[in-house]
Amino acid sequence: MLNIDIRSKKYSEKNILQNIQFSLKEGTFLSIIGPSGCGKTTLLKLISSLDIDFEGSINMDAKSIGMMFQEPRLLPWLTVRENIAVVKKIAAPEAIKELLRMVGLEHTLDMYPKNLSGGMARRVSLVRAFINRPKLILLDEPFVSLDKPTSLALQNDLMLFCKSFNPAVILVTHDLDEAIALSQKILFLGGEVTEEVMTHVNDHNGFETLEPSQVQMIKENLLSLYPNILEGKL
Amino acid sequence: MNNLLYLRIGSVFFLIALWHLTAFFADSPLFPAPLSVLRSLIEHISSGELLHHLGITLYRVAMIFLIAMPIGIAFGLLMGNFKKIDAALDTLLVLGLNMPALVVIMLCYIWFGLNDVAAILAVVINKVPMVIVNIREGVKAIDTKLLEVACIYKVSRYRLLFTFYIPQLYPYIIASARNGLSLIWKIVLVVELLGRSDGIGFQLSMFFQFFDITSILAYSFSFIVIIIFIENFIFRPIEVRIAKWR
Repeated sequence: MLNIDIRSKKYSEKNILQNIQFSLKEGTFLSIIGPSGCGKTTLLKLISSLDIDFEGSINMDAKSIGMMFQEPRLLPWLTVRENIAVVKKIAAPEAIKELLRMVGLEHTLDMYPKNLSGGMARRVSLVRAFINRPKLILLDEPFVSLDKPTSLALQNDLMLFCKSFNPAVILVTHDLDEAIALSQKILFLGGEVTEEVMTHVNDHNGFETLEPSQVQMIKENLLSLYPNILEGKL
Repeated sequence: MNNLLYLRIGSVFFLIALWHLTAFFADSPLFPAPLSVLRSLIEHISSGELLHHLGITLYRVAMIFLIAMPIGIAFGLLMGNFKKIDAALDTLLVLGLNMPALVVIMLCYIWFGLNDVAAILAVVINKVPMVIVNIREGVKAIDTKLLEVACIYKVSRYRLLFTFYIPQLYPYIIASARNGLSLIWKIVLVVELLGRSDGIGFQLSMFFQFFDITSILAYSFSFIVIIIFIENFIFRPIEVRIAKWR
């Protein structure tokens, strides 16, 4: 589905990313974790072809991708319906309503973003990400700056959509617990010395969220296996 | 809201009363009372001459507005988005901004003759640089994060421009349209006074020569009515429509 082989990505002569190879199948949830400034967001920009200035190759057979950012990034001058419709490719008039119903937001169809709470706006941006049934979903710290219950509710909605549409998902985060709870694989990106370890955390098929106790267990296990990677960086 | 309306109307009545009193005590044909100005206004309208000249001036203002705004917006977009174009045209822009209107008018009349083309061109040249500056500022305030959204979802160029880009510039476009109209009004009168034989500016210069203050004020009022009309029935509704999401 997605094959990534980045030899190097430079910003003004400084190497941001180096030798990153991985591939991803449909129905797989991968988290990319690392401290801020390690190039996580840059990596997403390369995958989404917002930035095409790098050495290496990225191949995917996804016609469209969906993305959630650190902010909802809705257009304030469009209603919820128009915000989703503006990126929509396939003609299915009921689809917008249906996806909004799945996250309990069908009553917001004709509301403007200023009237939505933070959590609601993110859910709209979640619906927007999935409206074209993309095979690849990119998530750039979408749960950041949300309170815990809102963040958990949004994660549930995300997993619900993932189960329904079975895309490949890449989540960028600096929260190890979050990464373990949601993903099947974790890729660690370290700061200056780039180290990548692809770790399997969740061997389930499909998209499952782990219980906090399981998350703690796996976390301790990971930390004992790779103490250097996380030390002082997260 | 209602209180504000009372204040608005009250202040107008107060000004008229003050004017009336001043005229009463001045007791001079050089300071006519409100009623005589109104009488003069009605006379000028019923003779058909005021509407004729007002129509001509309005036509010129509309032409200038419709020519200057698109040119200004287009160059504002170009200069805001492309550093090279900005660097190439910036000096010319500063020149345009600081060139006295009077000089531009004189040069246009001398080079192109005392005709409508020269008159309209002169005001367009005065107006365009201000629109450019406004729109260029607007482009600097564009939220590129929203444009990234458009990129990722591969929206068409048409949608990128008209759904993601231009709406962010609406406040700047409206502002320059507003400032623009009042500037155009003012300069058009000077242009007419200097080199045309019709239009409100020309009429005013005639009245000036005869010290006919009453007619000067009557003509000015016909003007103010038009401006209030444009503000309330064109600009405000557009603004309300555009700003309903705020």
